Amino acid sequence: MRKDYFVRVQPHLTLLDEEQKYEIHMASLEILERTGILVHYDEAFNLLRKAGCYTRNGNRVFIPGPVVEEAIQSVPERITISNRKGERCLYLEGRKSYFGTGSDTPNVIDIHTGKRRKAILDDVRDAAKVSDYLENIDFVMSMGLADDVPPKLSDRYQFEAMVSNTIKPIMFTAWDREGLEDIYWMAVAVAGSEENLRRNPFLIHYSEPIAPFIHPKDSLQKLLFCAEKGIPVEYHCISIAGATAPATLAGSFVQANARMLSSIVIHQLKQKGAPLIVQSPVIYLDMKTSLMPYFGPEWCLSTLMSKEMALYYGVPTFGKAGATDAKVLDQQSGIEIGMSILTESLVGNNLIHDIGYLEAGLTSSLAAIAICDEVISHVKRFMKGIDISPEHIAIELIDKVGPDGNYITMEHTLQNFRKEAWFPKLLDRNRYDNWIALGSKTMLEKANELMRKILTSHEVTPLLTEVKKEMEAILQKAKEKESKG
Amino acid sequence: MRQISLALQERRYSDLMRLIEAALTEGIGPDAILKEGLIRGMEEVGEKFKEGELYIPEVLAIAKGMKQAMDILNPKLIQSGFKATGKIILGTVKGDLHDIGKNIVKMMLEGAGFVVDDLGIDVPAERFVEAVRTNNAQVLGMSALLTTTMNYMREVIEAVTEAGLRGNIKVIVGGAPVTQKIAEQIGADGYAPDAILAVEKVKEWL
Repeated sequence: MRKDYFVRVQPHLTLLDEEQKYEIHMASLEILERTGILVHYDEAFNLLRKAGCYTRNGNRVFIPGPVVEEAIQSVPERITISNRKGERCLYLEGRKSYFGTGSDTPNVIDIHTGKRRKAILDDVRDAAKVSDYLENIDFVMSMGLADDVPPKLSDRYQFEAMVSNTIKPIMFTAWDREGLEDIYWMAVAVAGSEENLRRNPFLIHYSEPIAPFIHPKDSLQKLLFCAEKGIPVEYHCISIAGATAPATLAGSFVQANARMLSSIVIHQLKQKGAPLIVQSPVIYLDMKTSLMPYFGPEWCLSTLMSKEMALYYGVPTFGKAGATDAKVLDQQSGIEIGMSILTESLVGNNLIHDIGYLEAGLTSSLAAIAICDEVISHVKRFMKGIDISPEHIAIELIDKVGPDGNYITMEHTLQNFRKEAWFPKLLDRNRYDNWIALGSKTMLEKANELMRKILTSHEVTPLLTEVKKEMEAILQKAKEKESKG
Repeated sequence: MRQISLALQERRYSDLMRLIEAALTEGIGPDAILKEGLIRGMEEVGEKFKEGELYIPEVLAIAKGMKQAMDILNPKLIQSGFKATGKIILGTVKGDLHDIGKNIVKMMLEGAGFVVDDLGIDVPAERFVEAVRTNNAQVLGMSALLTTTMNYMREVIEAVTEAGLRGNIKVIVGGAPVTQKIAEQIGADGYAPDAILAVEKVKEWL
């Protein structure tokens, strides 16, 4: 159109228009007023009552539209997450996406034997370490439910294992409010003070209610504690269509959206402006196995709609990618890993987790993390888009090379090929004979080799000794309390 | 009897009720209707489910139809001195509010002709023990969805043992985090990964 036109264009995916988002929002408000929710915690129940909600039987709450609108107004539109050193690094806003692993898998695939076995604390350490190394992993979760620690204290042990083995932000779970509190104080020890932690949080808590509209006591206690202390928390509102939600996608999505809105209300009533991350996805119950799958076409639609509604409301979002229902790293896992990472990147959810999950979240795999890292890198190039400018269009160059020249020796190629093209690390593009000569390795074999190498060679920035001692003291106290029972 | 079986499988409930009444009028015994007609039909449904021809919502709807048919047949069965197939106590353990799986198991068990006493969710050990003591049930089934609450199943089994009732009852457990190994570790008699297999297990015992 004009001289010196320059633009970078990036792909994105949309589904709903303004009218459709409005319909979904109106339907959600109606459900909250008409059907309401169950709140199994007095403090939350009283906050809702005081705010003007109608109540019944001490736990049934009907939320009027204006109460919802006020909560939507006050919930922050953006959250900045820091690393362990307090350096601000993840900007949870708009469609900026960051990827991380998943938590609490009872099993792992052993990186040396390739066999599936029970997860132990060392697996949590290893997963944090490789995530610390990999360029495209931005945050960590435990990637194991450690079998070799006291069961009721695994959350504290796992937090310590993670924070000692990576400087990247940590998303964590806790058995209950007590566990959450212990972990909070461990994090304060790392950050140096409560204010440091509040201003530059390096941790995010994960908790969830139950569909259709049940907020259990444990979940609410944790949610309110996070609100009070300013700990970013993701309160996950997934609905299982055909089981805990209607079998029509619109019905299950609206239900999840309404539950998500009720969560924002409760959270913001405890502390206006406290940081909250949301998602309202839908997965269809597998009607043959009665299991909840971790990937599916309906889910893809729902994660997109969930993002679009969250942008409509102005609140950062959660996502999920790199997780497969396959039991091993086979063709199914390749397909589900590839499709999910591409979908989530196009959708633009902010905090995308479960990288490296197999078996619908029951087994984790270090090799899978490596493969996902490669896919994320690939997709990042796609998402980077195209620069359009006179320099990039390069008419003079095209003319210089002419109709029958080539570009391989051109200065322009030398200057630009590294910036413009994507280079695979694990994907194989060799000629057949060369591939044989190099050992005819599969991607899985290469991923395994890479992870084994990282485990032995990567060095994580250690924690200060005083910090380690403080965390150890908190852990010790928890152990004593537990054995007194 | 084939007609009854088909009416059940194809969810033609008014036909089903009509055929049952007709059979009773003709003098066919209620236990024959149950065994040759209804149970045979449910077995075929089980096969079709395994082969992927039918899915869970359809199986549940058929189980409901079965229960309706049983409501008509039960009084006649009792009259003719027929022995009841069995009674099962079900509950989701304390601290856990998830109940869809348990509810599906309940519907399937009733569909198989069993009587179910559903204690609900968040059930403490004392209530399980009391139910075992007073209910005359042959099986106790427990469900948990969370890895935290799953451990409570062990406490319930211990409580039942302490009350001297363990020998009178078979225990089956289930739920997403539960496995065969865990079931054995906590002292249960059986485990099933889904409702269909749960019913088969209970049938083995009864």
